[in-house]
Amino acid sequence: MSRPLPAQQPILRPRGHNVRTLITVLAIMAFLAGLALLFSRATSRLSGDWQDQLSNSATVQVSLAPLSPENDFETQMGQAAETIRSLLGSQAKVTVVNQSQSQDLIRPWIGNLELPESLSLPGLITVETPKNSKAPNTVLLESQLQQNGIVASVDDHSRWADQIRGTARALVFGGTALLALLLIAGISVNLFATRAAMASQRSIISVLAQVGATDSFIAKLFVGQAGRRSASGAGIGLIAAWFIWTGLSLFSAVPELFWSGFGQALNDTLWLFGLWALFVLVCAVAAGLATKRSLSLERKRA
Amino acid sequence: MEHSGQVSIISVRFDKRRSILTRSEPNANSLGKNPLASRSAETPDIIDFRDVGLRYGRGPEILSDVNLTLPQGSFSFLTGPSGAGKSSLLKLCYLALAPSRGHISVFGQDAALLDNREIQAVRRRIGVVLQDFTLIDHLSVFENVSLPLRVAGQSRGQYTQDVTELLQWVGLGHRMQAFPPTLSGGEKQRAAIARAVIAKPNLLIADEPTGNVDPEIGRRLLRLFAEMNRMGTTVMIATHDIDLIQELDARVFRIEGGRIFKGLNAGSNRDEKHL
Repeated sequence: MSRPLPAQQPILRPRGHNVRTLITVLAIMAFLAGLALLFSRATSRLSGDWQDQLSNSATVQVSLAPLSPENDFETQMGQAAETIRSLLGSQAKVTVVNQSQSQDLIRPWIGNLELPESLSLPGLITVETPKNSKAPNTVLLESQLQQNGIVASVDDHSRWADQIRGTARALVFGGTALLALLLIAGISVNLFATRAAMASQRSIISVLAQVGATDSFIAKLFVGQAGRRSASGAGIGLIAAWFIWTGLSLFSAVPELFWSGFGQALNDTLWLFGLWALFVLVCAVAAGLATKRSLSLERKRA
Repeated sequence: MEHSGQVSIISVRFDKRRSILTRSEPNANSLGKNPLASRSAETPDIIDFRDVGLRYGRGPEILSDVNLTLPQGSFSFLTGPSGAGKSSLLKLCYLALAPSRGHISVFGQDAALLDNREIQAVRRRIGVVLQDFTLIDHLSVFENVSLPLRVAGQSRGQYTQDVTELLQWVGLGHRMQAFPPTLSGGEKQRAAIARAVIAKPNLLIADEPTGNVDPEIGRRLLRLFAEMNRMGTTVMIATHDIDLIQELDARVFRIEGGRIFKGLNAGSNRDEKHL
């Protein structure tokens, strides 16, 4: 009774001398690409959160009439707030910023100086509408307040939101560009490695050609090798990035930038998995194209 | 048992191996049209060289005006001094080189009209044994021999029995899992031959197949080639070994000065003729 044969052996030499170094380089690239992806996602998420908050809020700056015992700050602001409530409905949350809070708001500019009683400060009212409702119409609100005898300007924070949106877009673009550069670097490393592997395994390729192997068959061998190499390198790098991000989410001083819940973590983990698949795919395709091109050039030279 | 008395075992088992070694008929349609095919449309020559010249780069022609035909089922020797161009001529036969001029037809197909995929399809019908064996060192004997079948897309389950039987038949049954660096010259040679014949080629080309083995193994290998030829494989062997040539009554071609002649030498009883 004959012994069963061992498993099929790989036609190409299984591990070259530089494979470990190559996997390390790929792992570092994938690690940086993973962090770039997570940073882009976090920036995008944070910017979205801030814009959501801003889009459903407004600040009403009321120009107060000269204060008197009968017509003091609270009275005037109370009337203004009541008018706003009657215009926006009961679902809107209208909050009057009291005099001492108003003074606190300008403290960054004047420091801890005691302000004179006679200094006229504008009265501030914050308005928040429910998340899924329509944002306050500033022009309409201003004119309706004026019709009720209240001089006020309404700021819907749109300029601030636009700035946040623009900054976030720039950061996401930067992160994506960095990601793309790292992918290109990964492809280049794989092209170089494939060409080096082909040069060092020239004798095997010539045997394969001699027994009738097509370019596609030979390319598949190198694609498989590059795919395994990239899968290992990218896997190590992206798992490291995941652990770093998890650590930052748990222990960072700015937790809002990182994962604040299981849903976000799962979502980003899926993105990392997608990046791993993309990394492996582009590296394998690059190796296949490099092999076919090299074989074609070799044939032309012959 | 397998590694003692290999000559007799080979002879005895040859008929048993017939099922493995019987060639499958070529599918001529798969290789495109051949403008030269009209000359012998029914049974085209396996190889047909017409006014073939070969030079490497801008160097002098190392083969000039070569006209050569290998009919189906023929057995031919190719001889000549070192550097005469024997190996180059064989490379032209299995399309590892393209001629600088002239026409080569292989299996009735004009080689110049074949694209890379078709060339590889032609090569799968040619078994090649080179002087340096060209075995892959990190693959076992079994894996080396099964390579042509693997390349042809067969699964391990499909070829395991054939490869195992063939290796036993050539006396390497006990060395199936050995790696080439651990084999003797004769064992390497037999492994290379097994790899060349496993895919049941229509044409077997061997370059100095007995150059690295002792005379006894050389004769044994020659009998193997003769048996394959008896079963329909066209065989062409390049060799310096005059004794080997004289053992068989086969066609002999001699290359000298880049030209090909029929016959062993001027003093032989064969016709001397520049082809």
